[in-house]
Amino acid sequence: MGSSNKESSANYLRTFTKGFWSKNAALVLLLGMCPTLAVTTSAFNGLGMGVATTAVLFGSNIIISLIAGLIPKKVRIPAYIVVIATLVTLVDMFMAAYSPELHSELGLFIPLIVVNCIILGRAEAFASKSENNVLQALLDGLGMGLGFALTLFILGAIREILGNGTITVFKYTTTIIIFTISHKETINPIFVFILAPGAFITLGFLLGLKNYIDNLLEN
Amino acid sequence: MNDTLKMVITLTVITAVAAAALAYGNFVTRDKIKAQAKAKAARAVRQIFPSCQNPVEKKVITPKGKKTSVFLCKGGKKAFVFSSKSAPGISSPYGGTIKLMIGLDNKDIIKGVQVVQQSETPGLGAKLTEKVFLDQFNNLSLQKGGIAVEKDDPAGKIDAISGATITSRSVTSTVKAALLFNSKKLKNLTRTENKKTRKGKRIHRRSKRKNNHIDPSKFKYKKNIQNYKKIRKHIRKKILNTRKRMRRNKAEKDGKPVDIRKKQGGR
Repeated sequence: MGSSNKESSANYLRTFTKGFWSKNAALVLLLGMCPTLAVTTSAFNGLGMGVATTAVLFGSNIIISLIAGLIPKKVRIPAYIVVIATLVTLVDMFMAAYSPELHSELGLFIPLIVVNCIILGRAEAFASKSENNVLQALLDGLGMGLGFALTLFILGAIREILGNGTITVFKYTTTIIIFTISHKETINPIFVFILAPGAFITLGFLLGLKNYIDNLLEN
Repeated sequence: MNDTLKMVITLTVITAVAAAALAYGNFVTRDKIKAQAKAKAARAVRQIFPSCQNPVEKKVITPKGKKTSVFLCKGGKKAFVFSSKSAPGISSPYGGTIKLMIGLDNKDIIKGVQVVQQSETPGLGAKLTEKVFLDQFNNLSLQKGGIAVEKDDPAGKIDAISGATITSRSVTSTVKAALLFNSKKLKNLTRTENKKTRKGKRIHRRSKRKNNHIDPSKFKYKKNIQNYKKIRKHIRKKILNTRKRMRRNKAEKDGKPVDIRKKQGGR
């Protein structure tokens, strides 16, 4: 009894942590490239998109894990899309009502989450599988989402530092912390990193770096 | 057949539940979102005029026929919302619409510009919200000129955001169109407090008289029936006069003379 408990808790931990490295959505599965490339022009935008995706992924994984057994196989994709779109719209409305400042920063990206392949991908590949229970689906959603958020944050930070000479972590206009390090006066930024090609270049280098570390760990 | 039915029922149930959830969400947040939008506008006004604590909001029609808000502050200061789609001839932004709040003093000199809404590229055009760019508009006016991007017009005083000339051009032409709109349409707006002055009262009384009907209950306390009859007669005469005047006006408008007495028959 004790050993199986230990085994299952290790299993749960693996379900949570795989999103950060071994099955990272952006760097290994290469899912959700549209938000990865388009919104990571600053560290804050990357983080915001990542956190919003995590919230939706968390909710959709739980709901889909609960209802998956009831849905006929042929209509599962439209059913999942309806669930995800509803969740995204609700998040959008509640954010606009209760946190308008965050909404004004992230409002642009939120509708994009509906078509983010990570969410549908996790619903299809993990949450709807009968061998995974609700708790596993929840942990998977959280881990995958946070891993994605972290990757987007790193990508955004690199692009912002190189392309703009700044790093912005918290960008709330009036209330919370404004933390911007600017070297605009001393460093001439490499402008291309803010533009679309910069996104591809940075992502390529990040992928290469990850594979290099993986190779080192194997040997 | 059974399978098809099951699919239809499942999807119908799911979409119905989703619709109910969305309706409930909308019901809960609708008023809050509206209130937040209003508070945001008021905050933008206060960022331009910190002393203007309770601006009076009025609705005006933009050159393209849409409603927009004007916030009137004391001392002839005003701030109004103007977007890149409010007037024809504004150069378009890179994406979506740019909505600006523009603050003017009583001599129509710009005292501050704030961005209410924008969807420009993050990291490039989105820099239009930065103080360095927006402060360039301060103290400019139509009379002084110079509301143009330096790159396009040597007399222009607006230094474009690097890499976002289209955005800068759009903001600048929106501001210019807003000033033109102000000089044409917003000159005579006054705060509602003015209604409390004598002039306002007179208007009020006159509009009451126009009602032209007689409410006997108002004269109940007057025992003198003669007085009541006198008032009635007076008002009947007024009604007739008004009708006559209306008919005359209409005849003038139509451009053909009308015999007033003839049409009056029956009375």
